[in-house]
Amino acid sequence: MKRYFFGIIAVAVAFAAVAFTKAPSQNSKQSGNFTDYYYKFVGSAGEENDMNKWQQLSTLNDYNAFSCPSGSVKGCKIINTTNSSGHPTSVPLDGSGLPTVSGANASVANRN
Amino acid sequence: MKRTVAIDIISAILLLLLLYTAISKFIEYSRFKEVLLISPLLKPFAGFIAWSLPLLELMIAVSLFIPALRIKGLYASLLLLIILTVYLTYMILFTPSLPCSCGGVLKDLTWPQHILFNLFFVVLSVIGIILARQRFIIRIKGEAPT
Repeated sequence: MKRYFFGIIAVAVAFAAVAFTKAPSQNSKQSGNFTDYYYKFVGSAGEENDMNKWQQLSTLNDYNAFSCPSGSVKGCKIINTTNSSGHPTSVPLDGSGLPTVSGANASVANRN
Repeated sequence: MKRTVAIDIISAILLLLLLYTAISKFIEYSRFKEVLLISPLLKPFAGFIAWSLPLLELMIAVSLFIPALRIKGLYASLLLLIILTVYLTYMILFTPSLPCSCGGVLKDLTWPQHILFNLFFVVLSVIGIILARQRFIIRIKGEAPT
């Protein structure tokens, strides 16, 4: 029985951790956040932080099918967990103003 | 005695990790599957991986819980963690823009952070296996007729 001691503690902690991390997501879902939304960038280079230049895609399949255009546009599509009237509420940008490829609530696909 | 406690603690830590990620994947099943569908490498197997990976994690967690199966659980978790680390390395090299298909809070880690996280548990598994093997050898020597 002694050899199960740490295992039992681990199981208890695991269930507690799942319950703890799940709670904010449940609350947020009620207010419409933390659902994935998919967008494509329709602006020009340097306009990545203008939320109106990101157009919502209706499905994940549209997101997958969308290929990044060539040219100077860096960020071209984004998965975001927050939405405001068909636009993302924010796009994670690096120091030079270009979208960073990943963030806590967003993932941006950059043109190579 | 100390060696046995160390093995139990290492097994419990790995059990905690695997159980947490498995339950998180089952709870967020549809999201997990969607992210797998984005991955160019895993897309053809997304449906299969979406339920088999958390199930495998659960099975390894059970084997880490049962003392008689603990050494097998340590080997299995080492193998799984190495496979996941190789996959993470592939993702960093070829598709760093995609989100992680990890369970729970682990999806908030960046790719390099996730690799370091995995490597820590790989090292932990290796230490657990070494300690378990040493204990096995000592036990055999102790039981051998003089």
